[in-house]
Amino acid sequence: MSEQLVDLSEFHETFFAEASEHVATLESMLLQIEGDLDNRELMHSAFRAAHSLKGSAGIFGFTEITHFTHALETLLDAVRNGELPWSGEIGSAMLESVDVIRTLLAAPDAKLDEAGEVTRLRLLSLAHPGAPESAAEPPPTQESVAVSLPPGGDPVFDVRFFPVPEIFKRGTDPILVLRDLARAGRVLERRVSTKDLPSLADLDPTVFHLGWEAVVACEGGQAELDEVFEFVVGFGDISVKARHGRSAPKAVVSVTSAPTEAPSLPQSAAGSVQFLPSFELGAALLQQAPPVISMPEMPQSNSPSRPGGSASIAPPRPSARPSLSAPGNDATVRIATKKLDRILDLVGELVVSKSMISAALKRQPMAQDLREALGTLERHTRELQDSVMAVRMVPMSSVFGRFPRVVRELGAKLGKDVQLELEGTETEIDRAMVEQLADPLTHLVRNSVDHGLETGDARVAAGKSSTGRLVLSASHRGGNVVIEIRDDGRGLDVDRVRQRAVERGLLLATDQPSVEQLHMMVFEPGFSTAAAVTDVSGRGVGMDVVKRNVEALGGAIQFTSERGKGSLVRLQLPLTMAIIDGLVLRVGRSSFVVPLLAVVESLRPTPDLLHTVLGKGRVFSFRGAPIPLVALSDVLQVGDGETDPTKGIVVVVESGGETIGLVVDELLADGQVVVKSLEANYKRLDGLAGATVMGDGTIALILDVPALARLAVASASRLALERVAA
Amino acid sequence: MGGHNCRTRTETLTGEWTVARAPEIHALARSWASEADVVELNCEKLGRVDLSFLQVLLALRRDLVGRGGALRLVAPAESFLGALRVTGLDQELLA
Repeated sequence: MSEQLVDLSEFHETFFAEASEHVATLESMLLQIEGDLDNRELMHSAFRAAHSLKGSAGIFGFTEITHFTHALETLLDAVRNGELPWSGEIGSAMLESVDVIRTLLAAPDAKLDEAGEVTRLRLLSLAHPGAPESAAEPPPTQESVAVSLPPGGDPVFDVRFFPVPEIFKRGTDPILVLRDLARAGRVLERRVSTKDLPSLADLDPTVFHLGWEAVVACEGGQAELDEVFEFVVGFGDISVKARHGRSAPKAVVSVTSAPTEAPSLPQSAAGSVQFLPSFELGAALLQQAPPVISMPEMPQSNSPSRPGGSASIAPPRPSARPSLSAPGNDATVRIATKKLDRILDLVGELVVSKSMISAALKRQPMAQDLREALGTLERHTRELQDSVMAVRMVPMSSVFGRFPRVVRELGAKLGKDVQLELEGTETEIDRAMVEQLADPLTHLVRNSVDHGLETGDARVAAGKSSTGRLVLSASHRGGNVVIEIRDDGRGLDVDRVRQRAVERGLLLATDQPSVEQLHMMVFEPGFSTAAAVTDVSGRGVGMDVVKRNVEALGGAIQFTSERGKGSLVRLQLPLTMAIIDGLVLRVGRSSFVVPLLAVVESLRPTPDLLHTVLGKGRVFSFRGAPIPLVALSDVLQVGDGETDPTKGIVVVVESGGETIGLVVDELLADGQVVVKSLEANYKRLDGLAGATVMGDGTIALILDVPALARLAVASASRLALERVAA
Repeated sequence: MGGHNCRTRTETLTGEWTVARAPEIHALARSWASEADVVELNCEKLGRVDLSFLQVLLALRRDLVGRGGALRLVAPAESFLGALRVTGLDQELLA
């Protein structure tokens, strides 16, 4: 019989989300420890992350994760308690274990593979130096009856643990909590209450009937004991109360397991409790003091605090973990992203409905009170929209958090000393963009370390510090998020770029591109100036993908470099992909929206600014430089739109270093629009990024400026090559 | 599992006994209690257990002891011992 009484699968998503956070915290703490060995809080934070991961994996029955993380926790515990000094080997083994945990999380039902087992044994071997590996791990479930009090005067706590009867149905096994309690501190006394246990005939075996009271000495104090119960807060009568001014005796006391009369413990408020005989311990030495802190039975966030902004590789020390015993004001709720997306969709619909009402009412005289009501509706709709957007925002630390590890390992592999600095980690960005940013940024960082930064010797020869500097920064500028990756490396050799561009047919030998245009050549498909192809980078594969990925997010990318001094890649991204600031255009009888982020200027040119250049088609002299003109009416086959720029309007847009002029009939308005996916609702169309519903209920298509720019440039290049062929 | 037709019943428990199988162990315990005064459980090959299992053992023991019988846990596996000790139930169940 294998009746599953508790279906935890619906909570798996939450488990994996939290587990990922624990792993990220663990990794971040481990990386910081190396540079800040005196900061014990880092080690405690790392331990807590591993401990929490193990605990939640245990609850959900992911035994391989629990089993493996137990070994890591053991080593962390030995180091944080000062039993082992930190070493590079320990750091490497722990970081390796982070990878193993990630692998296990990716396939939680799979067995630990051979490499993972090797890592596990390595962790245990380091945790128990001198012991044979096979014997290094004590049986994880074995608890010793004999308890020795610690030599120090650890604070003492009264612990009460009476889980709710339905604790099993909530997917929790109290044994796990009791094991954690025994691990966190020295259980000086423990009594189990069985008074509520029914007779065998009346017993419902899926209902829980027991409870415990214990006296525990814990070096880590209240916070550590609170952590033991963090998964069951609100699941019963649970409290951890400090005994004021009392510490565990300093003398080592041997304890026998012989049953004796239990020493006096405070009776529970529930009245008489039937206690089983338990350990005779030094509890009689401990006098009870009034409880000073109580544990509220309310769920609280267990999320690790996020590192804030920083000007160095080590983000600032995380704030002290709030005690579960202290009522907090920052309770959080974890919500599935898809639910948030649905709310945002509805808000988008509300914005459209509001605009339609507004447009309809404005077509006729309105009573003053109706006008005021409409104004209030608009204000509240905007506030609601802003509030929902704010919920979707996450700090850039969730993106940047991986890079200390990436840079550390890459630097070691390439034999380069690299100092990574993270700036603006608190800058917020739409959660939907986070995952899509990870790969492009990783590529850019790897490129900087591999190609941008020189070896130590080369740097010294160039009069620089032997340690290369790489800065990742994020900031909000003008309603956008700007992410920069800058290094103080060798910079780009533009002469070599020009040579490679000519070799690849991207430039004619007679062309005179600007330095900026040469810089942007690195984003051409297959373009690389790397002398050697390494397994890190240099194949010319990736930078074009980076550019496309950034543009797919509605962003733009720039690259600038100064030879011998370094390079800078700047990504400019919208705060969100869901709502954009746009300029509404009319072409014929159709409306289009161009993202304001891309708009440089709009104007009606005079005929003297227009030229036809052989091989480049129509160009427009904009700020002294010729830029291609693209008539949207032609490109998007609107048919009845204006194609003569002197009669319509030219909207100058810029994307990825390319500037083009879009010929349209007129400008209608600007404002925020809610982006709807064309692919999801219709199909993908070249040159269009999406659609939106306007205030009058009509549909406007959103222009894909990078695609239009590529179209214009490709058309010009094709004409240039045809010219050469002729 | 095998049994004897006498007031002492001996059983061998193997595998995991957690809340998912709680109704099963409860039904077994009731049948043992109805057929014997002394129940001996060989726990040498017992796997992971949780408190739903230990509760049933406690209730079974009380039922047997109340009738002058006994519950004997024989050769408890290390992990089972660990569970008994960490819960403090070893004092009663191993007595």
